[in-house]
Amino acid sequence: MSRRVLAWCGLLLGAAWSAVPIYLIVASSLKAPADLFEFPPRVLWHPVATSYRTLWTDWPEFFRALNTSAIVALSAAALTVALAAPAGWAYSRRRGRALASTALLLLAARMFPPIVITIPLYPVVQRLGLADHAAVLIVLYTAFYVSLATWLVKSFLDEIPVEVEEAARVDGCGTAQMLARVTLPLAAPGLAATFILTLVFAWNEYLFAFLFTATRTKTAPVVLSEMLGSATGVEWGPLFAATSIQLVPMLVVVWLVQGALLRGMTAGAVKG
Amino acid sequence: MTGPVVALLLVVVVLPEIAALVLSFERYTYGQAPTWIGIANYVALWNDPAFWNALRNNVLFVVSAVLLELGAGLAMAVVLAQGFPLQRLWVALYLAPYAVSPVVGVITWKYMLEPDVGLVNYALGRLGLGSPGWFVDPWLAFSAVVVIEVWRYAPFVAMVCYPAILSLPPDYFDAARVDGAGPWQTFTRVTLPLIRPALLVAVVFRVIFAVRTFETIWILTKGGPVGATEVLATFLYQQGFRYWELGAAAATAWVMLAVTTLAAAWYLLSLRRAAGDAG
Repeated sequence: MSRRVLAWCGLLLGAAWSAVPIYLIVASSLKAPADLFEFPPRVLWHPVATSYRTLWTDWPEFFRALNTSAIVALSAAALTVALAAPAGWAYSRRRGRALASTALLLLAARMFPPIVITIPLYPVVQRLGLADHAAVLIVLYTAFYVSLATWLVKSFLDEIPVEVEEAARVDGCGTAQMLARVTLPLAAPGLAATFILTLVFAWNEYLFAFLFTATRTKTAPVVLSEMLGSATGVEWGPLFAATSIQLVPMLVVVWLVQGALLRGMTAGAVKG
Repeated sequence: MTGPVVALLLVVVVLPEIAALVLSFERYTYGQAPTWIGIANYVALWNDPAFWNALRNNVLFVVSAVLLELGAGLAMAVVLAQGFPLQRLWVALYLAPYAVSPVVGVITWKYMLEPDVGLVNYALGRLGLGSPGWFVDPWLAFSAVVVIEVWRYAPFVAMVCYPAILSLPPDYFDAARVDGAGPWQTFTRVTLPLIRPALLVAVVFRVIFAVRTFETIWILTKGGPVGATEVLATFLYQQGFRYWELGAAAATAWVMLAVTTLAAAWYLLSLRRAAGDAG
């Protein structure tokens, strides 16, 4: 009995440590600016949208950035899954030395610090006139998330019995047709989870977005950091509102794709 | 079928890495033509106290953050593995910091650590511990950065260890209970040794990712006060994108890559050794 009580205490402590800081942001975004630094903070209050209204009138830039973030994240996730699906299938179903060496490349690519490639890439991007283009971010995100995505897809495909594919072949399907008609539809939940996970990473990314965007294609995290670093002092109200808008969709996502998160982070790292 | 993925990685990841290596042997101020100068950039790094400061901070950061993440993450995993009603909700709450942007993490903690009005200082004041200036004092600024990192990544360790604990056969725990082992003994004698492979993966991943740490520090302190939170990535950023010495920055980048590679090699070796133990 006492052990159960202890377990509950531990559970609540851990949940508080992880979730209270985030809760404070969202709760504060619904308070009147004057009440933001009230002590002790009020637990029950009448929610007001003042901060959201200020954000809307004073920071049109944030909503542009939100739009850019959505375009970049959705495109990067779609491209990543499009590339990862056939590659994941090959790793799941085929063996061979060439395949093994590319597997090593995929693992190594995840180990490289992204900031290293910004140095040679920056002059190239400028010269090609691609600075401040969303396409740069989409390509970079795809390159940096595709190896994790490939392994995630592979781990989902490993659970689909080969017999299903063999049956399709007996019925006269070619590889492309078999993938499109049989394998990928069966793997749809796994592909969706991979898509969403990539979406989260791309939506939250800061380093590349900070380095390769100037004005037109700033993403939401970049604008958030600018609001925080504002020289005239931080306007916490609108900042909390903006932060809440940026983060709440991600919380919904964690809820939806928990299973993929739990299997995904180290996919390909342990021989399975 | 793997062609497009391999091509993309070669062009966007591997080729620039090699280009960075070439650059690191050149004097290349952005906008001017690069000239070959051999290992001069590396010699300059060796003689630069600011570089050693960044490297030392980086090592200190990796060690302290990863150890704390390991402790906190393991505790989270063990607690979650006990199983509770609404398990999905608890898991989501625990993992939430991992799903928010690093920028959001900084905003949250900066708000709580604000010297005059933040929640943490209010609590400390109530306890008679004064109101520390978190972003002014070098050690406190460093600690703040570590705390934020631990907050963000302990859930990652938990995420790797929790499924590993769940996959252990219940017989082991029953046997431990029959033998009269308490919770602590069960943890150290049964759980911990059995989840060692997962733990190893978590540590190596975290070390590799902590070596490259940039966002939290850059947004919160920009490496200050007086270099107290400067790490390789922020040092590299200033070399490259503030002073526009891309050659010198590339040399720092390769030092970073070397540190990462050492960590990765250690990981692959231990994996092989673990596989050898098993079979």
